[in-house]
Amino acid sequence: MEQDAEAAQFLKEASLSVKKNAYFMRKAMDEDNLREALRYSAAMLGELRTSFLSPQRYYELYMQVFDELGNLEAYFADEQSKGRTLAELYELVQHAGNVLPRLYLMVAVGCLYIKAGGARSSDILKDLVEMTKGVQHPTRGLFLRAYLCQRSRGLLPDTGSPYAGEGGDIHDAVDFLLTNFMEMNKLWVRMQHQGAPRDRERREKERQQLQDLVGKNLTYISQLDGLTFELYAGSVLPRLLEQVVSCKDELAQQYLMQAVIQGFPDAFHLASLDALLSALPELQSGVKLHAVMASLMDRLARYAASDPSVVGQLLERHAFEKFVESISKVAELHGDIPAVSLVEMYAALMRFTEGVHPDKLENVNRVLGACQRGLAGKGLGGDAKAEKQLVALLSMPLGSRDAVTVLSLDQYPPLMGLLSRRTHKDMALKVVTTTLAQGTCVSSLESVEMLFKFIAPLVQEAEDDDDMDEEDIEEEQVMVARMLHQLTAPTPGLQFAILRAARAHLELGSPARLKHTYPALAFCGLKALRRLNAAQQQQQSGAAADADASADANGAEKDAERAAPAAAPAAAAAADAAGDAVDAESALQWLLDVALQLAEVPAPMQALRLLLVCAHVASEEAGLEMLAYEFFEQAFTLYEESVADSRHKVTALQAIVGTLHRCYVFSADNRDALTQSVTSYAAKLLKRADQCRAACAASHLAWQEPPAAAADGEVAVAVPGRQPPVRDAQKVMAGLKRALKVVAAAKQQRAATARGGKGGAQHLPLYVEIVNHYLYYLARGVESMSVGVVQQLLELVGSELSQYDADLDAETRSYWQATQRHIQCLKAADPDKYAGLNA
Amino acid sequence: MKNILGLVQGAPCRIDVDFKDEKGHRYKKTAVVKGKNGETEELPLFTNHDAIVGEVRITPLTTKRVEHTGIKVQLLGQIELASERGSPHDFVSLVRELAPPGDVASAAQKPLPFEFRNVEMQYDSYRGLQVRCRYLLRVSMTGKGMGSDTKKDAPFWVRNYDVPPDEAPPIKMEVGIEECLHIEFEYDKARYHLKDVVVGKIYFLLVRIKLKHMEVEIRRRETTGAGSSAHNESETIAKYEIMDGAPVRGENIPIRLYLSPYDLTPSYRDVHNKFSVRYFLNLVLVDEEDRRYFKQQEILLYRKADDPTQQQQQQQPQAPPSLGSSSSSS
Repeated sequence: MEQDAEAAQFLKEASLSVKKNAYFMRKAMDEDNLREALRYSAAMLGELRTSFLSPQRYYELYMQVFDELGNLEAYFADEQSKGRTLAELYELVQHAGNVLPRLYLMVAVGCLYIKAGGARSSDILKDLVEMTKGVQHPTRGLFLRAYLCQRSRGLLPDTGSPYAGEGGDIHDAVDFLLTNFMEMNKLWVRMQHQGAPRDRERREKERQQLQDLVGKNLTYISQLDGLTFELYAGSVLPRLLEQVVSCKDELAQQYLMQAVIQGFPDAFHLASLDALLSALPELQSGVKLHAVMASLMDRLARYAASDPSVVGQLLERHAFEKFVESISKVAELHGDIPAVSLVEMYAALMRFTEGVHPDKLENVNRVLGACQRGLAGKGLGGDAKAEKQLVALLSMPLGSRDAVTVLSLDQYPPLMGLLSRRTHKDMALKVVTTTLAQGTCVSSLESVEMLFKFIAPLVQEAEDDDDMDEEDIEEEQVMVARMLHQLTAPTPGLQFAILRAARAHLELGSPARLKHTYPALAFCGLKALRRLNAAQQQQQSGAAADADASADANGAEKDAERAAPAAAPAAAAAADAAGDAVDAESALQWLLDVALQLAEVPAPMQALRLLLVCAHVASEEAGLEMLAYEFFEQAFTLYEESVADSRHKVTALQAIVGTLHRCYVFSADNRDALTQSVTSYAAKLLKRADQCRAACAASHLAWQEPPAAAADGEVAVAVPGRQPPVRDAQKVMAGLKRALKVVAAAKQQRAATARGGKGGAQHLPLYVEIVNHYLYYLARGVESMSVGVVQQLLELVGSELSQYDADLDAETRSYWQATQRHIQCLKAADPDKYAGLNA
Repeated sequence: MKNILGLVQGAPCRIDVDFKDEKGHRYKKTAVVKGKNGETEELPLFTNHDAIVGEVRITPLTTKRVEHTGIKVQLLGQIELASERGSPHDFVSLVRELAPPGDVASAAQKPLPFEFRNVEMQYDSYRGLQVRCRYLLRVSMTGKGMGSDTKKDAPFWVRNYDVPPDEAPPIKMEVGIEECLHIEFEYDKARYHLKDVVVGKIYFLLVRIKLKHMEVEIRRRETTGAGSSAHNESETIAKYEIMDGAPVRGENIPIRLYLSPYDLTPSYRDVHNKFSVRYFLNLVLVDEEDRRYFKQQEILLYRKADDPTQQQQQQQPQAPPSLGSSSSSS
């Protein structure tokens, strides 16, 4: 800080001295005293000889002097008109004893000399650029040469310039700028090595402030009208690169490579790609090559975007291959290159290929593969930045193309595997979301296998996964579950193969995951099964038609099984033919497996529901009695062994009843076995109300309606092995009686507990419910259910209700009223049948 | 005032010497010569074997009649050493009688012409630290009562032009301090004329010390006496910075030193066995601790004839001398 204040003070004094000398200089000029003017100008310029100022402050001083030099130049120009030749002046200023002021004056006069046409531009410039070697101090030299560069602008013998021809040609102009550039660069690099090592960082910062002085030369070269590609590639670029490489300075190399890339036209880069790339491996290991490569690739990509013909040229020159090669060479040479740099390079390459050849998927894969190889052995080293870059790299292909296409990139998952668990998972989620967002169907076995490789961290556990709570897992697995629905193959056979593959992967996960994914998997299976059935139906009807036509039923069936629905691609059909063919039985067996595994999770309710659904499908769609029975059996076992919660039991039982009621495949024996189990389950429920309701429900098992006709538009499924609907009035009545008994028991129980208040009248709604069941059966025409029986019950219920009228809650009351209204309606609709009813 | 009151007897007359050219006009060739304290004086300039002509004018300062025993003019060439001050050695001494004895007033009636033809003035006029070589006309009036006032010295300057010496090889030299600093330097010539430009280059072959700057000095060494009694006196005529900052190995630094701004003379060897003047280019490197490393190299300076035709050519603007020498060096 103190040093800083000192420097500030110094600058103030120096600036004051500049002002003073400038004043005397101007005064001498007014008096037309050349000698004095020169003397004071040299004194003024002498202030620039300081070593005390940081580049920033030196620049301030320089600018001040620079402005004053403008006056001096004007005066010199004037001198010429007074008969003093610029040649004389040019010599005169060289008499100055100090080298720095002398050289500034030389530059000032020299440039006037060129402008006045007195001397060959190239001669003077050559002289100036040579003489300025006298200043070897980095900061002073840089500013002096910057002044030279700036003043000589427009005076170069550039093609088309008035200074060309006699005064030299474009080669001289290029030579001049290049020489000046090289000298400046040397000074700039040298700065780093002067002073104490502990100030290294500060120096680096200061150097950065000066970089544009050096870069200006390159800008001017690039702005030369006469700079043709031949000149650039033949002379400028090799010399530039030679200098860049040989200076062995990170900062300089970094900046200059960028300057070259940004400074010269795209077309030049395109045509001289080899030269440019071949310089890269030779740079220092600390140079951020990825940034350099990235700029180059981005530039070319932009160029290609602006001019379609460039794409062809890039192809022709194998730009992509060259980039790949160059990166791997760089990585090889700089064995210790940080992972983040490496990944950034590949990310840039990915951007390039995605920008230039969006259609070339193999390029994407190559980039991934190369990156993976590059990182092999060292991984990311836990570098968060590297990881971020890698995620960016991996996300790129996802952004522009659908997930299935990306799934064909076999280099993707191993690269993904390098990510940390958490990031890996994020990436996997991204893959899933992309798939879902795009609604992509994953339709081949290979893709599915790949997909699971991609999302492995979502499916499998890892040791360090302990920070996941239930909710996180659910959220995550729901995504996976959703994704399962995207796995759709053109043929059912293939579909099952896919699902099997998916299951094999899912199985690796913990039960906590399976709970969420298996149901989805199973329902995918069911969907497939339905398609299978539908397909078979069609084939059978088609085969029948064929058989009629060709009388070759035997072969036709086989053919038909093979011939997939018209929409299915031939490849998928071939896959089916190759052994993936599946029948309903095996599919259901598979589903059974899935369900049982789900039960072990344990997720008994889900498993139970799933079993029931499968049972129904087995029964009603496949017509496989044994399998359907098996499903029920398993469901019942689950009910008995695994469903403990009474509420769950109630729900489960209802589900069982509902499903069984709709199954028509069972023979009487099997059905009885199932029904009896249900009846006994119902009796064993804890609460009276539940017992009652279950009994009512179970009663329905004895009375099936004929299966509903298929709705319009759906394929009517003709199920083989369907039994006629069960009609057993006795059992119905027995069930209802049991229900009534339970209500009675409930009533007694209430009385025994003698609980007053409204809460006690639990049995009342049950009465109403039973009434409604009675009415249902009456309407269905169950033999034992006569109007008289119903009326009897109605009276009983009526009296019960009036007895407990005070306890009646609003719900039950309105239920009862609705029931009464219903009865009125029935009477109105069919007075003959319901005449005896009186609510 | 004293003179007017006649209280002190002053000089009876004033003596003026006018140099004339062959046609009787005022002599125009002059040389500006720097004196000791920086003041300059303009003196008539001659060359060996020139004719020195002119006239002496006597202006009486008193109306009193003053007799003299004769007026004469001497042309003297003297070498004066600081060590033997007051007793200059005359190497030329010519005398012309201007007027026979008579009175001052009559001598003052018209200018008294004089003429020295084909004078041998082989040595250049020179003003050094401890030696000078000078030429003068001494007009003296002798007679009773004539003091120093009646003697008048009119100095003039002599410059001789040398035939350009034979081409000598450029000076090239590698010097250094082991493991510390190795440089190679070259000056394009060993012999320069006074308006010449020294063009050269310094190559840094090894730099292990932190240099601050580098300069070229022009040093003049006067030697008087000979043998064991020889005495040297050196003087730095010019300091010309040629490098600012610290170079690294492999750098080369150009030198271009114009000699014209400096007060130089040709190198003189054994002037009348009295003294020699030699010139050196001294390359000085200064490091950050202000230690000086130097290497001195003698150069021979000579005066080139100012050929008028040549002079005109030089003024042609198309070829600056600097560039000519620069391109020839590269």
